[in-house]
Amino acid sequence: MQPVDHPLDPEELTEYVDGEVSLERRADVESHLATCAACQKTVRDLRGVSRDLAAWSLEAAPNALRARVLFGKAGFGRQWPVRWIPSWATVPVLGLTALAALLIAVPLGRYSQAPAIDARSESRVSTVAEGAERSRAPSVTGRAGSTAEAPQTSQTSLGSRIIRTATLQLVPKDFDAARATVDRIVADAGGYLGTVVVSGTRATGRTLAATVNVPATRLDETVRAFRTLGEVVQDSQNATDVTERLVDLEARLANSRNSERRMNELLRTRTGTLTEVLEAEREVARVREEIERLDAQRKSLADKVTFSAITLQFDEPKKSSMDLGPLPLTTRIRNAFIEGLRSAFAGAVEALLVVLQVAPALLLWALLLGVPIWRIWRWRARVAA
Amino acid sequence: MTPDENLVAELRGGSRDAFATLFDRYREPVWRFFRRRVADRGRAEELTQDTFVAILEGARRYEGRGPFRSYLFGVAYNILLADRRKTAPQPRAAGSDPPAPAADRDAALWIQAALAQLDADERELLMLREYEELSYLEIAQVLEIPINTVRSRLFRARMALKQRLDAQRIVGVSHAAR
Repeated sequence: MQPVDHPLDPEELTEYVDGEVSLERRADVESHLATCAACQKTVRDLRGVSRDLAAWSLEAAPNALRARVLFGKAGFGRQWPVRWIPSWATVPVLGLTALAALLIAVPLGRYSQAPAIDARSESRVSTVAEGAERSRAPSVTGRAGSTAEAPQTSQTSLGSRIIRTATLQLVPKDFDAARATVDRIVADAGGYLGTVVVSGTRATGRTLAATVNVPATRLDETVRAFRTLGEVVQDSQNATDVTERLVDLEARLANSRNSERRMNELLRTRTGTLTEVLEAEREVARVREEIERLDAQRKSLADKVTFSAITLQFDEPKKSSMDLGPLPLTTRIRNAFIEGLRSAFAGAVEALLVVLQVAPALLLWALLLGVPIWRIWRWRARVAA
Repeated sequence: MTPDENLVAELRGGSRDAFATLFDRYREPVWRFFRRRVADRGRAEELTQDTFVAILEGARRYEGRGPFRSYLFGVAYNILLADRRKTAPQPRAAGSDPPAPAADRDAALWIQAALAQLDADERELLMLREYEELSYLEIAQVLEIPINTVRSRLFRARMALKQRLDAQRIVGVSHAAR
């Protein structure tokens, strides 16, 4: 209960504590507080309540929340831009959009099928048309001779982070020359050879298995250069969007760093029992370990986005013949007999074939020449008689 | 730092960056708003997400008459009320949200127990002031009550909470003495 001559409402003390009292009124409140023990106590009580409430602290927001809201289907990805269209206009706008897409798609389809376009430009058209689809598809695979190529860049305008890889298997025209050319192609692309394993012999045919890393922006031209080294047996490419994983990792990393900073600050400024301090230090060590683990994951992913891995395999064709030494005499006699029979049969067949082939011609000539010759012979015999 | 209102204007133009900045700025405050009022952690996460989705959907409707911050917590408060209506069937003691996990569990339980004994309106008003740090005007806008009501209820809520906390302290001391 305030005294009768009390110049302040109790609510004004609340406003004063919260910094909501007006400037002109603030001076009055402070001059009164300087002399009124009851109001001083009320202010202390109000501030004490705020201090008590501040003891209820909470854990940080889940890391996955950011990725879901900004990139998830329920978040920005779904809402933009469709939800900006008034609901009554959704159907007409979608209809017009579909019509426009159809009008654009039909001429494009005709263009891509036109026979007059040379192979290179046809490949480019198909790349453009397939680009959007590939950016959604997790994997793009082609067989030998395929012109399939992944999108030209690994980072889209929306900041997507894509890991691209390629696998190429071929039979080289010249194994030794191809091996040397691989080094040159990789150096030209500004990449590096990861692992190179050459196995086998010239007699059995050698195999080269290599992992090549090149800047993601130069993946396509590098794969094209490799394709010229021989006959392509297998050719596949893969694109994996890791944007959400990276965003999530970065958010978790930021949160862990904040936690570490807060805990270190608390360790510096707060005192406690030995057990509490040890517990706090263990927690700091755990958070530090978590930060290093997350950071390593983030760097590894970022490296994979920057550099594309190509798995390369060259299979040299076999050239040797079998040499098992001289055959046994009985085998040679048997082989000779079989060979003789086979030759005799083949000869008979050949003769028959010759007869069949020649007989019609002989019959024809016999008819053509036989009749005049027979007449001449009879005429001469009659003259002689 | 870009003002919230400018970011909302950019968001209307379809800027993902603007939305990301707003989200990063208010993710923790909105999360804490729900976490202190909803028992289930997963549900609190969903409601936080719903709030930002609602902000995204309603960006066109935001007229910039008041601060974005009070608009945001107004949206969050309405989403909280809708969720409470949806999950109302199970009877609950007046205003007693089950305790949420906290960094300092003992302190959290002590505070929650005292808060649970307050009148629901006074508790909400007090929490908006103490935890969300809204001004009297912003609280009035969120709760749609006159600003003088905010002043008087806030004083009453604080003094009532002090009584509860003092009573718990006495009980705690007497338990410790035994």
